[in-house]
Amino acid sequence: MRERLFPRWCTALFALLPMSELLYLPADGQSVYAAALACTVCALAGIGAARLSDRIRHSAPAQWVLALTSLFPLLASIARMSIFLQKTVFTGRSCGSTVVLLTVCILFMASMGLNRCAMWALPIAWLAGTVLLLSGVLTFTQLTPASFSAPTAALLPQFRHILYSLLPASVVLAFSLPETRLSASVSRGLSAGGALLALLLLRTVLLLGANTAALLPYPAFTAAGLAAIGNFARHGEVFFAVPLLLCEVGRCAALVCALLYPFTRTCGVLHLRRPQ
Amino acid sequence: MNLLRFLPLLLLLCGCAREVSPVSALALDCKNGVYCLTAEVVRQDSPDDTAAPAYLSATGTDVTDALRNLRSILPGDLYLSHAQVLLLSEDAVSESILPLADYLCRENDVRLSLRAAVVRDGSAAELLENDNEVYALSELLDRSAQDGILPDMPLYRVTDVLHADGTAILPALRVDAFGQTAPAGTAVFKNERLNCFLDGEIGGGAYA
Repeated sequence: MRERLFPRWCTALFALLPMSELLYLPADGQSVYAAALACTVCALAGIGAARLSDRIRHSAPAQWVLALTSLFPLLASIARMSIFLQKTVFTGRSCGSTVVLLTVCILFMASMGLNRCAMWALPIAWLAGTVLLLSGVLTFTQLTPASFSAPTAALLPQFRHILYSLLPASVVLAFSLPETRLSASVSRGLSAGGALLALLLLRTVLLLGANTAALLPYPAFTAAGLAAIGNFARHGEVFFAVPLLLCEVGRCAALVCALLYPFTRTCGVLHLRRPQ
Repeated sequence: MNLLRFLPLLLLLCGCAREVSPVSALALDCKNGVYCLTAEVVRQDSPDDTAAPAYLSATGTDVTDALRNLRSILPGDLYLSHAQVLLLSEDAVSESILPLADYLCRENDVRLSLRAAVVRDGSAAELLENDNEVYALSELLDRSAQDGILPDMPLYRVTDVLHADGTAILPALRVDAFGQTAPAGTAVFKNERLNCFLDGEIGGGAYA
C-alpha cells in the first residue's frame, strides 16, 4: 500500500515547529504578541507554499533550492539544542559530543521518511501539549497579572527574530508536502503550535516578571521549574524540556528529509542500502 | 545489532560521577567587608539512615568568591538545587542586594523558588545552626507565608521588584527568648538596601 501523509499527522508536524521555539525565546511583555504575529505570518506563508508544492516536486532546480534552504534552519536547530544541553544538563561535556549525539538521533529518525516522521509527530505533539498545559496550570496561582503589558512597537525586533527562525522551516516543509490538499493542515498546525507558544510565553512573563526573565538564558525552561506537585515533583523543568527537545528533533528529522529529497525522491522510508 | 553500532556515541556522554553534597539552606554574614557563607549540607550517612545537617563555612571578598571557596572545601560537588532558604544578616544587606539577587538568578544550580530572609539581632549562621532539623526553616517560611505572617517573596519575585524600583520586602527571622527560630516581621528594602523593619502582620504593623 502506498504510504500516505494523513492531515492530522501533517497538523502535528507543523505544530511542532512553533513549540520547538519556546525554549530559546526571551520572555517579556512583547514576546507574546511577537510570537502570535510571527506564527500567523508563518501559517499564511505555509498555506501558500503547500498549494505550490506540486509544482516544486516536478522541478529539479526548485528541489535543490529547497534542499539548500533547509540547511539553515537545520543547522541552527542543532546548534541551539547542543548549546542548551551543554549549558543545562551536560555542563562538563563539550558541545561537540552533544552535536554528534543529536545528529545521530536526527538521522536515525529521518531515515523513516517524511511521512513516518509526521506520524510520530502526532504523539509527540500531544505529549508536549499536555505537559506544557499541565505546567501552566500548576503555576497558575503564582501568576502576577501586573506584569502584563499592551503591545507596542518594541515587539517588532522580536517578531523579526521569531520569523527568521520559524519561517524558513515552515516554508521548506510546506513546499515538501506530497499533496496540495494538506495546506489546511499546515495552517491548523502552525496556529495551534503558535497559540501554545504565545500562552507559555505569557505564563513565563506573568510568573517571573519581565525583569527576572531578562536575566535568564532560557526563561521558559526556568519558569517551568517553579511548577511543582507538593514535594514530589519539584524539577518540573525536566518534564517540560524533554518533550520540547523531542519536538525539535522531529522538526530536524523532517528538514533532513527535505534536504535529501533531490537524492531519494520519496517521502517514504529512506533506504540506506540498495534493495536486493 | 545495528543499534549496538551507536553505543560508542552514547558513551561520549558518560563520565565518572562525583559525589554530591546536597545543600538545604545557606546563610550569609558580613563583617568588615569580608563575606562568610555557611551551608547546611544534608548528610545521610548515619546508621539509621536519617537526614542530619552538617555545616560548612567559607569566607570571601564577595558571595561568588565565598561560594567558590566553599566548593573547594569539599572533595565532591556542592549541589545547590535543593537549597530552599538563604539567610542574610543585617550587615550583609546594608549594601545593595541586587548583585546578589542577580547572581543567584543566573546561577544554574540555584532554584528561583529559593526564599531569602533577613536575620534580626544576630548572625545568619547562628540562626541556621539553631535548628537541628533539615528543611525546618523552609517549612517555617512556607507556613508563615501561607498564613500571612511573613511576606511570600521567593527569589524571582524579589529580583523583579528590585529591578523595577529598588524597593522590596523580605521576611525577617530571629531567635526568640526561648531559643526558638521565630518570625520577626518584615524587612523593607529601599534603593536595594535594608531600610527598616515592620513588625507584626503585613500591612498592619508599625515601624520597629
